[in-house]
Order: sequence, then C-alpha cells, then structure tokens
Amino acid sequence: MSWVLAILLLLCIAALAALGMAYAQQARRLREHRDNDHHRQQQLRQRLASESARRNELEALLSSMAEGVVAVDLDGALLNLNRAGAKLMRIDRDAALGKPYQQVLRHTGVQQLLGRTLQEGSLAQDELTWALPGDSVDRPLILQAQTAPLHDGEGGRIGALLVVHDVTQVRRLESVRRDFVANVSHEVKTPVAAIKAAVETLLDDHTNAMPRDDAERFMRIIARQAERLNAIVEDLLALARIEQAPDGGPLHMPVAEVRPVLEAAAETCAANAEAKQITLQLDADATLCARMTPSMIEQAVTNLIDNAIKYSPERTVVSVRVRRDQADVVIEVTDQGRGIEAEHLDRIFERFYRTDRARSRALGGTGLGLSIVKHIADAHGGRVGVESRAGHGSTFRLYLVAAEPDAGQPDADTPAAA
Amino acid sequence: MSVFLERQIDRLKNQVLQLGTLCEENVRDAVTAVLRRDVELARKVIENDKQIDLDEVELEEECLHTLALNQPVAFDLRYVVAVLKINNDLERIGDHAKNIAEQAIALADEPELDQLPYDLRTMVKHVTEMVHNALDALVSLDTDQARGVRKQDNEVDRINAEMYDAVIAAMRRDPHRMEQLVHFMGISKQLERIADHACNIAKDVLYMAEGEILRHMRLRKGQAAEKNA
Repeated sequence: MSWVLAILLLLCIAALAALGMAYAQQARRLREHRDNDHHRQQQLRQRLASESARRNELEALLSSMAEGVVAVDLDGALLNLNRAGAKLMRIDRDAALGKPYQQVLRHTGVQQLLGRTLQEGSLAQDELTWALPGDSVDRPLILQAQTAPLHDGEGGRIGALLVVHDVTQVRRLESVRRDFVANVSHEVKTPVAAIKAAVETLLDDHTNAMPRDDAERFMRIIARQAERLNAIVEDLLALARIEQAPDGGPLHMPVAEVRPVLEAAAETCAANAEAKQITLQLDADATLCARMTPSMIEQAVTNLIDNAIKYSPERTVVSVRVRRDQADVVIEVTDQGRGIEAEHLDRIFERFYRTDRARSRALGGTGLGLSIVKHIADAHGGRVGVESRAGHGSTFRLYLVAAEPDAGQPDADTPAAA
Repeated sequence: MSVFLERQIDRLKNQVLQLGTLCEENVRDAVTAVLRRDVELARKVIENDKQIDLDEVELEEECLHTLALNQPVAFDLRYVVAVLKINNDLERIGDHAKNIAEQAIALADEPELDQLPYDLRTMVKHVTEMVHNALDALVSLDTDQARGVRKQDNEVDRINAEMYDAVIAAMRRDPHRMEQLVHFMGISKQLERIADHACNIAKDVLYMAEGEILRHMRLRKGQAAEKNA
C-alpha cells in the first residue's frame, strides 16, 4: 500500500514542480514584457520630448527673427505668424491664426503677392507702403515683402510663405543723403553762378567804359556772394567739427553756469532784434548749472534766437527761459512767429531742410542753423525738441545734463556723477 | 448649410474684403497725393479705380450665381444680399477716391497753400478708419463695431460742416487762392460722402446680423405713425 502512497506523493511533487516551473516562466515572461513596455514607453517619451524641443527650437527661431514671417496654406488660411510679423504689421496673432489672409493682411500689395504665389507657385517680391487706418498719412511704414511657395517633405506644394522686412529707416536715410548732396550742390552753385556772372561782366569791359558806380555794384555782388559762400562753408565745417569731436560724453565736460551763456547769446542777437523792434526776454535762474562747453552752447542758443527773430513779425516778443526738469536743464526759446506745419516738424533739424526755400534764403539762412543746434545737443548727451502750431509761434527746447554748481571740474580718472 | 454654400460664402467674404482693402488704400493714397502734391500717386489711384470697377462687376456676378445656384435662405440670404449692396457702396467709394485724385492733379498745378483751410489729416484718418472698421464688422459680424462706425460719422460730419466757414473765410482773406480753396472744398465733400458709404456698409452689417433695415429709420417710423393715425 505504501508504494502506492509513495507514487502518489511523487506524482504530486512532480506536478507541483511542473506548476512552479510554469509559473516562474510566466512570471519571467511577464517581467520581460513589462520591461519591454517600459523601454518602449521611455523611447516614445524621448521621441516626443525631442520632437517638442525641435518644435520649440523652430518656434524660438521664428519668433526671434527680425523679419516678419507669415505662412498660409493652399486655401489661404494662416498657418503661422511670427512675433516680428505680428508686431510689424500690427496684427493680433492669436485672433489671426487660421483665418484667410484676405481678412488678416488688409493690404492690396501683400494680397497680390500671396495670391500670385498661391496660384502659380512662383516667387514674388515688392516694396510696399504699409499703413493702417488711423495712421498719419505723412509717415507710412515701408516694407520689403517677398513670397515663396511652401513645400512639404515630399516636395508637394502646401501653401505660401511671406517674409516682410522693415526698410523705412533705410529709405529715409537714403532720401536724407540724396537731399543733402543735391542741397549742397544747389546752395554752393547759386553764389558761384552770381560771382561768375559779375566777374565776367567786369572782364568784358575791355575799354573801361563802365561807369564807376556800375563796376562797384558788381563788386558788391561778388563780395556779398563770397560772404554767403563763406557762411555756408563755415557752417559745414562747424558741423563736421562737432561730429568729429572726441566723444568723452557730457561727463567729461566742465560744469558751467547757464545764465552767462544765455546772456552772451542774447547780446549777439540784440542788434537783429532791435532792427525788427522785437523784445528779447531773458528769464534764467542764476544758480542753474549744466555740463557743457559754453562756446558751443552759446552758438546753439544764438542760432535758436536768431531763427526766432527771423521768423517773427515786427514788434513781437522772443523769450528765452531756462528751467530744471529732473536730470535735465531745459533751455526754451519761444517766439510768436508764423509757426511750423506739422509735416515739417520731423525734418527741420536735417541739413538744408527748409519749409519754404525762397523765404528762408531771402532771410539769409544757410539751412544749417538748426542742424548745428541738434549736433551740439547730441555732443552734449542732450537732445532738441520743438513744439509748434502754424500761425501760433514755436518753442524750441535744448535739453542738457544738469549738474550741481559745486560738482567741481571733471577728472579723467574719476568722472564726477552729475 | 451645405458645404458648398459655406465655401461660396467664404469666397464672397474674401472677395469683398479684397475689394474693400483696395478702396481703403485708394482713399488714403488720393488724400496723400493731395497733401504731398504727388501727381504720380494720384495717377496710380485713378488707374486702380479701373480695377475696383472690374472687381465690382465680378463680385456682383459671384453674388448672383450664389443666389441662383444655392438658393440660400434666412441668414445666408441676408449675407449675400448685404454683400451685393456693400459691393455697390465700395464702388462708389472708389469713384470718390478717384475724384479726389483728379483734384490732387489739378492742385499740383496751382501754387501751394501756406496752410490747409481745415483739418484734412484728421478727416482722412477718420474716414479710412470707418471704411476699415465697417469691413471688419462685416467679417466678424461685430454689431458693436458697426455701431461705432455710425458714431464716428458724426465727427466727419462736424469737420465737413465747419469746413465751409473756414474755406469761405480763407477765400475772403486771399481771393487769389480761390481755385485751390474750391478744390479743397470738393475734397472735403467727397470724404464726407465716403464716410456716408461706410455708414451704409455698417447699417447693412447690422441688418445682416439683426434682420432689421435701419436706413431711413426716422422717416419710415414717421410714415407708420401717420398711417396709424
């Protein structure tokens, strides 16, 4: 009987062992499976992370570009618009995405470029004047716009890309330079032509038949025009000198009282003012000081007062005031003259810029006066400003860096704080 | 709404916007040409007006096709009808811009005025803003924006009304400049008309959104009251 029991026991043990082995195997397989899964998950996570990093990278790349970039799909709906583009064209980025470009880019030039590229798949470019309703008509943005077809990985066309570049400043500088060259030539040519004509007339008089009076008249023309040429050249040289001045900045300039400088400038202009019976009012606090080269500031203020007198009718008042405005000393020259139209205000500090050529020249201006003022202000780390209404007179302001009277003279090694 | 009709309406929307953009730019360019005495720009405006006329015809045909082929109802019907009418207003705006450009060319031949007799810059700012906002309201169906356009019209009307006195005073002061001043008077009138067309567009948007015809409201209310009495 016992052997039967023994066999049964053995069988039981064998079955248990087999079960155990099967279980262990199963467990191992499960573990492997889990590990595998884990591994795959990790891989997926990594890939996702790298994918989003790449997208972020692209996004960062796009958004830090200075050029505006707009991508549209074949139906013309906005796929992407970078930050520069939104800012440049003043578009609300979040509201714009997904909308047709006709709704977002309300500009015929841009619409034509995009339309052509979407239809023909060709490159296109143009220079556009970009203005939104409500913008001043005097200062539009000038944009260089290019469109190119957008392709996917397989080379199929999926839309169009628009890249815009702000060239307003470049075009403006170009026009300033062009005007400058044209103006210098013109300004110099006029007196030279007059001198040439007078000299030729005098030379042609072989027999000395010309009455003394006439000859003297021609000589006077020559003298006057030479004087004028001299004034222009001197002004141009003054400008060049200021521009070339070593820029140690205002901190390296001596501290000086403002009032004596204004008094000297007013004195220089007194004769001109008297001739037109214009009252020159000077209102300056004697304690105000600024970091400046007095001779340069005197020239700037003289130019401003001179201008004020030139463009004021007789028997009016030109007032010169100086006040402290936080870190600035502000010199103000106010007249009751004809004023300046809004469209000129931006440009009057440019060389040779004139609101009315004929009148300005008749008054003996070289067209450089205000430009010199601006450059002097720049050299002092200051700035100029103008406020004017046509028919109501103008106020020119010169801002300088204020200083305390006892701040002492600057030292090259330890510049005193203003 | 059928997908086809939906696409068709989107198409109309884009087309009317494109036309509107061109009109808006033409108004701005025409006045810029006056201010800068830029004859070339004025010629461009006149040339562009031909495009506006062609686009208007095309848009009208598109609207009629939509009506005939899709037979829209309710809101869609109002939309197509509104676009049809707005199309008309835009074409008129284009014509006024062209007139201003022609005056710019005439003015460029005359000596320049020392001072504008009225605030042309502010006026054109308002007017272009109105046209732009009216079209924005059409796209986004923003009734508040449409109402804003009608409010802004009061400002333009005020400048136009004050313009008469200012121009007449300037004529008295300086009779030699009569010709220029008459042109400036015309420009103000044209701009005022453009503002009115922008208002009409705004009213059409309100009609589309709310289904009520707002034009000549006071007159029609008066007539209804008479009938009841």
